[in-house]
Amino acid sequence: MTAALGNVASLAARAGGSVVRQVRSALDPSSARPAGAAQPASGWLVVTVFREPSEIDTAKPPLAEFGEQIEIRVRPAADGKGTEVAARRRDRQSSGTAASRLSGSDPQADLRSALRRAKQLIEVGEVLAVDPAPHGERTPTPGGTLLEMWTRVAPKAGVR
Amino acid sequence: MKAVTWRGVNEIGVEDVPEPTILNSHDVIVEVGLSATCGSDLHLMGGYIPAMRAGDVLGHEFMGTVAEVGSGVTKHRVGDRVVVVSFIGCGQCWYCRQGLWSLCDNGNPNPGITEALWGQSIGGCYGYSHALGGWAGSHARYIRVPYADQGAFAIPDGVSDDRALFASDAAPTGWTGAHQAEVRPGDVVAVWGAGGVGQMAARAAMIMGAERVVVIDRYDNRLEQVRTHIGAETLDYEEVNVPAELREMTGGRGPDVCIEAVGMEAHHPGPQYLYDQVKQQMRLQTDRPTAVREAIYACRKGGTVFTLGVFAGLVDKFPLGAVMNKALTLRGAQQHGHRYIPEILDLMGRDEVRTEHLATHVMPLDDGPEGYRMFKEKEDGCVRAVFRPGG
Amino acid sequence: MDLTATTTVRRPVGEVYAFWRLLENLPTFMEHLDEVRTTDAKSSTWVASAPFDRKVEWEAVLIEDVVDERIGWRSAEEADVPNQGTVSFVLAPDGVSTEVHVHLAYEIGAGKLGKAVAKYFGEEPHQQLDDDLRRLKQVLETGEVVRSDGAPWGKRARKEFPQRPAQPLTADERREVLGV
Repeated sequence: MTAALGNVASLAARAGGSVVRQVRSALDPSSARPAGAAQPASGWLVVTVFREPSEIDTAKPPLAEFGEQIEIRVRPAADGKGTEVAARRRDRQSSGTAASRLSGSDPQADLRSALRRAKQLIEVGEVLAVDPAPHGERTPTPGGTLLEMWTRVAPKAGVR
Repeated sequence: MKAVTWRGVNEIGVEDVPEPTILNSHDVIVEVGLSATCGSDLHLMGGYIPAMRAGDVLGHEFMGTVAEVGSGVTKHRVGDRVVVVSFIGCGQCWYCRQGLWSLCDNGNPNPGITEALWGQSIGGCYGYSHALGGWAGSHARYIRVPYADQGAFAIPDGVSDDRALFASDAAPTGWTGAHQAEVRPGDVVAVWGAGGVGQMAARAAMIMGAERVVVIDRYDNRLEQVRTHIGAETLDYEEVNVPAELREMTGGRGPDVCIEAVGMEAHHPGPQYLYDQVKQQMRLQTDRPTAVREAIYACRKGGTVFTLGVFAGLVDKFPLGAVMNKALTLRGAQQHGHRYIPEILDLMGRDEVRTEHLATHVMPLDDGPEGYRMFKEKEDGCVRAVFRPGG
Repeated sequence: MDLTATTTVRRPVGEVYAFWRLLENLPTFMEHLDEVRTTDAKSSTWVASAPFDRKVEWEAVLIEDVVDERIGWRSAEEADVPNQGTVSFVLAPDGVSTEVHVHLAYEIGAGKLGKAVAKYFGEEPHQQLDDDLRRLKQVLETGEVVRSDGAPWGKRARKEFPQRPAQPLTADERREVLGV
C-alpha cells in the first residue's frame, strides 16, 4: 500500500498535479462533467459518526463556530452504523471545480474540515495532530514544494 | 415453424425452421406462450459476443406449456404451464449441487470456446451463441428444454403468464445479484440500470431487508416504474452527480452493496464514454465498463460491488487501485436461477414481486425485427418487447 | 504417441471404477470406439471405426486391475496399432467426487494402416481424449451425453465452431445424429 501511495505522490509531484486530475477523472466520472463539483444537489456535506444520536452535541465547536451560517441535520444511520451528521451553508456556495478545490480555493473547505474534526472529537476525543513535514533538513525541490502544498490543503479537500 | 433469428450484426430476421424434437431423455418440448427480449440480446445483435451463426434462434426468457415429455422426465406432464430458467444446468455436477447453476459442467456441449476466453467453461444458455452451447432460443412456436426436471418450473395458478415470464431470467438474475452480493438487513444498496434485471435486483434487495435501495438510470419511464412498481428510490444520472448523491444519502459512507445491471455497452455522459466507445469499436477493448467504474468509486469502504450486467472480455482503465485500497469485494455471476425461482414464484403469487409492467410491448413473432429495434432504441418507452408466438 | 487427460466426476470412486471396468461401456463415451466385447476374464475384442467406413479390430488384454484404484490394458501382440492404456481413480479432495486420470500410448507404425489411424486421430488427439472424458462425466453424472441444437453430436472439439445454426434439427439431420 505504501509503495502505491508513494508512487502516486511522487508522480503527482513530478507532473505538477495533472496526473492527479487524470487519475481522478478516470476514477470519478463526475469531475469530468461540466455541471459543477462532485457534490449532491442538496448541498449537504455528511459524515457518519459511530455513536448514538444522543451522544452527538452539535452545539459545540468546531461546528458551533459557524453559528447561523450553516444548518445541521442529525439522523441515525442504517444498520447500527452510527449517526449521520450533515451540515450545509445557508448561502449554498458550491465547491468550485476539481482544479480549484485541489489548489485550496473551496468555499466548502472549512465546513468539510470542521465536520471531519467534529467526527474525530466525538469518536476519539481529540483531533489527530500531524508532525510538520518534511521531517528534518532537506534541499527544497519543485516537486517537494508542490507536495507540501498538496498536503497542506488535503485536510480541507475532498469530495464530501 | 416460425422463429426470430440472428442473421448478422444488427440484422434480425424471421424465418421458417424445423420443429424441435426430443434428443435427450431428460428433454421436454415446450409450446412457447411468451418470450421476452433481454438487454443481453443487444450484445449479440451488436456483434459484441463472438460465436454466433446466421440462423441461430434468439430468445432465452420464456414461459409456455409442456407439449411433449422425454422418457427420463419425472416432474412434468403434457399440458403443464411452466416457466423455464434461461441457463441450462444438469443438477448433478458439483457446481449445480453447490447452487452455482450457471457454472454447470455439463450444460454446455461447446466448452472449448469459453475455456479459451476465460480459462474455464460455464453452463449453457438458450439462444445465446455457440460459446454458451449453441442451444436454439425461445422466439419460436416450440422450444426443446434439456434437463427439464431441473430447468422447468410449474407456474402456480394465481400467477399470470405475463408475470411468470420474468421468473425465467430478469427476476432470478436480480435475485442472484442481491443474494450473491450478500445483501443483509440494514444495508444501503445502489443498483445501476433500471431495466428488467436492475428493477428485480432492487426488489430482491428490498425483500432481503435492505434499509434503502436506490436505482440509477436516465430514462424517466424506467425510473417511474422503479418508484411505482418496485418501491425503491431513484437517481437520474443525467441530472445529478451520482457518487455525490449516494454519499449524501448514506451519511458520507457510500452504499454497502453496489449492483451493476448495465453491462458491456454502458452509457455515460462524460468524455470517458466516447473514449470507451471508440476503443470498443476498434476492438482495443471488448466491453465498456463505465457503470462498473462508477460503482467501484461510489461503494463504501469494505463494501461489495457485483457485476450483474453481461461482460464478455476485456475492459480498460479498471480502477483496481480503488478495489484494493478500499478493501472491496468484487463479484459477478450469470444467474443461478434454479435455486431462486421457486421462491420468486411464491412471492409473485403473494403479489410481493410484480413484473408485468416490464412487458411494455407485446407482439407476434412476425414483428421480431421491429420489436428488437424498438427495444434497442428504447422507442415509445419500450422496456421489454415480448413475443407471443401463438399470435 | 502418449496422451494424458483428467476429469473430475461427482460420483463415488466405486461407481466410476465399476462403470469403466465393464469394458462394454467404453463406446458410450469414447468417440472412435464402436464396440468392445469381453471374451474372457482377461481378454476383450475392440472395434473402432476408421476412415472410409472401414473397421479396425484388435484384441486387448487386461494387465492390471486394482478394484476402485486402477485398470490397465494393452493390445495383444498382433494388433495393427499397438496400444496400451491406464486409468486411475482417485478420491477428490471434496470427499465425494472421483478424479479420473487416463494415460494412453499408441505405437503408430510406418504401415499404411498406421498412417490412416494417425490421420483419423487428427491434428489434436489430446483434444479427442479430453472430449471422451467430458462425455464420460456427462454419462456418469446425468445419464447421457448432452446434445444442443448447434452441437447435436455432443461435445466434439473439432466441431465447436463453426457448427450448425442453433435451430432445431431437420428430420434428415436427426436421422444422421441419432440413427432414428
